[in-house]
Parts: sequence; C-alpha cells; structure tokens
Amino acid sequence: MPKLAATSPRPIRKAAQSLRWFVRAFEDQAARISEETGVAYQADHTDLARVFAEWRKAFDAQKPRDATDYPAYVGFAAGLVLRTLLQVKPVQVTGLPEGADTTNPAYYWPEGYLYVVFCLNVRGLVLETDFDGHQTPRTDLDDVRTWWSFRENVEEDSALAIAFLEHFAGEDAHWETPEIFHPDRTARIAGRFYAPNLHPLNGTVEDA
Amino acid sequence: MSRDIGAMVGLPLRDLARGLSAFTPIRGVGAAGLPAPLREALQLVSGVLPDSHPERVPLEGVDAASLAAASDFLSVDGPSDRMEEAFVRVLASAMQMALDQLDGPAIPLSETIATMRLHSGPVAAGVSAERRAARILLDLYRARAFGPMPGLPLPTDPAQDRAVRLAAFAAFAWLLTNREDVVSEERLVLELSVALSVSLEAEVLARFDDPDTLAEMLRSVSAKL
Repeated sequence: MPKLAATSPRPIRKAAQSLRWFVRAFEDQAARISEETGVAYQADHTDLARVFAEWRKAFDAQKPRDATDYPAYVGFAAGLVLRTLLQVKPVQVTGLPEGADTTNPAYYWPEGYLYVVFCLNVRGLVLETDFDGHQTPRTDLDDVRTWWSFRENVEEDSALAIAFLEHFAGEDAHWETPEIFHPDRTARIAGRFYAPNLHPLNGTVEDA
Repeated sequence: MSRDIGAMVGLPLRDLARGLSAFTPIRGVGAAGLPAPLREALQLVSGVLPDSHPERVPLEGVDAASLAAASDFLSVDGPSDRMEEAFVRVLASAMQMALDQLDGPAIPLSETIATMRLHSGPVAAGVSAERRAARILLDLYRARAFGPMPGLPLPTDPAQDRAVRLAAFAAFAWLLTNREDVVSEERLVLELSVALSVSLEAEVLARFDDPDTLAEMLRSVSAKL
C-alpha cells in the first residue's frame, strides 16, 4: 500500500483540517498509487472541496470534548472522509495499464482503492505522529473478495464505509450504528455485552 | 499596447475595459452607426480586449510583497497607502481568476471605484480583520465596484451576480488565510477558496445582508483553507 508523504509543521490532525493540506495529501496519494499501479487518476478540485466541506460539517458535529477520546475520533473521522469520498466521487480513472489484473483490488475498483488507501494512510499518520500510536491493517485487504463485499455494501449504504474502514484498520467495527461516534470507553463497556453478528467479508452485510 | 491605452486616458486598464463592456451589445450590428472617431477608438481598444474572457496569467502581478501588503491592509489599524494600493491590485487579480473559474463576467473590479470607496472610509479601526473585510466587501458590492458597470440599460443577470458574490467572498477569504511560503502556491489556495465557497454557496450568499454574519463566515472559511 503506497504510503503518504504529507507532512506539516503543525500536528497532522490539525493540518488535515485544512483544505489545502487535504487536497495536496490526496493528490500525493493518487500520484503514488499511479506510480505503483499505472492507473491514471483525475481529481476535480471543486468536488474535493465539496468532500472537505461536507466532511468538516460531519466532523465538527460529533467532535468529542474529552481529549482522551481524540485518538478514537481519528479513526471515526477517517471513516467519515471515506464515506464522503464515496458519496461525492471526486475522482475519475482516465487510464488503466494494458492487461490489468482485475483480481487485484487496485484494478478491480481503482477509485475505491485510492479512497481507502488515502483514508487508511491519513488515519495511520495521525495516530503515529500525534498520538504515538499505530494501526495494523488487516491482511485480507489484499483479497479481492473483501473488496467485492465492501463495494456492494457501500453502494447500498455509504455509511457502512465508516465501519469498513475501522475493520480494514484492524479495529472492531461498529456495523450497526457506523455513523455514530463510539468513544473508546463506551466501546470497551459495550464489548462486554455485545458481539457484532455482522461479518462483511463473505458476502453482503445482510447475508452475513 | 494595452498599457499605453490605459495610460493615455489615465485609467487602470481594467476600468477602461469595464467601461467599454457597455459597448459590447452594439459592437457588432450597431457600431457602423457610431461617429467615426468613437468607432475607431472602439475598434482600436477592441483589438486588445477580446470579446469574452481576456487571456491573462492568473494572479498577474501578484508577488509575495504585494500579497503580504494586501493581507496587512485587512489586518492592521491605519494601513498605509502602499497597502491600500496593493490591496486593490491584488483583489482585482484575485477576482479575475475567481470569476474565470466561475464563468462569471470578464471584468472583475473597478479599481477606481474601489479606491474611492476605500478613501470614503468603510474601514473602521479596532475591529478584527474578518469584520473589516466583511465591511469592505459589502461596501464594494453595494457600490457596484465588482462585475459589469452600473447604470447600463441592461437587466441584472442573476448568474453573473451569483458569480460576482462568490468570487468576491472567495477572494476576501483567501486574503485572510495563512500565506504560503512560496507565492506560486497561492494560486492553488485561491482556487480552493473559490471551490470551497461554491460548496458552501447557500450559506455564503445568505450572509450578504449582514456584515457581522458575513465576517463570521469569512473567518470560518479562511480558517478551513
């Protein structure tokens, strides 16, 4: 998964709340994926600005006051970005390499792949640089069957993108109420009583 | 050539072009009926002013020093004449680029009207940069400094008015935001300011009646850039 080179003299989580950082980081990510895969992308700045504006509204609406919840909110906020990218669709694929293997997720769904990789990388970067944390993405992220399920589900309900990103990042996903922020402590308490009965990887959420 | 014409009549070229835009509807079928000296002058200037959007380098004439001075004009009490002059020039260039992005009118700003309005004193001391910016923006908008000349026997075009208001808002938000280390990157920031203003169009346009809420919107958008 191509990494992100985005840096800032400010904490990354602060920089990421500015449009210019967001657009530059996104275009940097697209360029890196293009270099590795040969997929050509074209991003529309007006649509990216719309993604950003809608994301900031959603971000501000549930931003926690307690600083101990910030790391958990980073993961949720990254999911909100993914949801909005999938809704607005700011990117077009303008070229695929000849003979591209569509069992590779990067070729099966190039736009979705870019959105997920970008969100995962920003998420990981913020956790690593601002909170001394780390994320361990799931290994099945390379499995095209994962992407079949992901694509089918988010096309029906884009809110599930938030849960899928949590899952891709190696966290316990909140499949039932993905659009509501669950602080860490709430999740820990809830985990004693509730185990998710939805598993998205071998079919749709409804099938699982 | 174009600068010579501007100097000849003692007006900024943008103002000259703005005035000549009044003749656009008669340039084709009606020009033959004009007195010869006026027809020749029109033909002369039409040659350097294309019918639609003039071809210009975006943010023409904006360098780091003029941009810093233009931004300072909004943020310091008692700005200097140099800051005022830079502000008007940079605003005109920014409006030009923003209106081009929005497919708005080709003529962005009357530098003459803008300068006259600024001298008449909409800039109060002791207010925040955002409040000052909002007051100046509304004053210039109400004085018809932006877009086509006032007083023409032409109906107001709502699409042009929308573009003018969004472009002006975006230009002011851009002037209020943090500056880039490299001035060439400012073009992207202005482009994004326009794009963000379009994304928030309903909220932006609704605030053109009140300087206080417009100031708050300018603060919010410039902080997000």
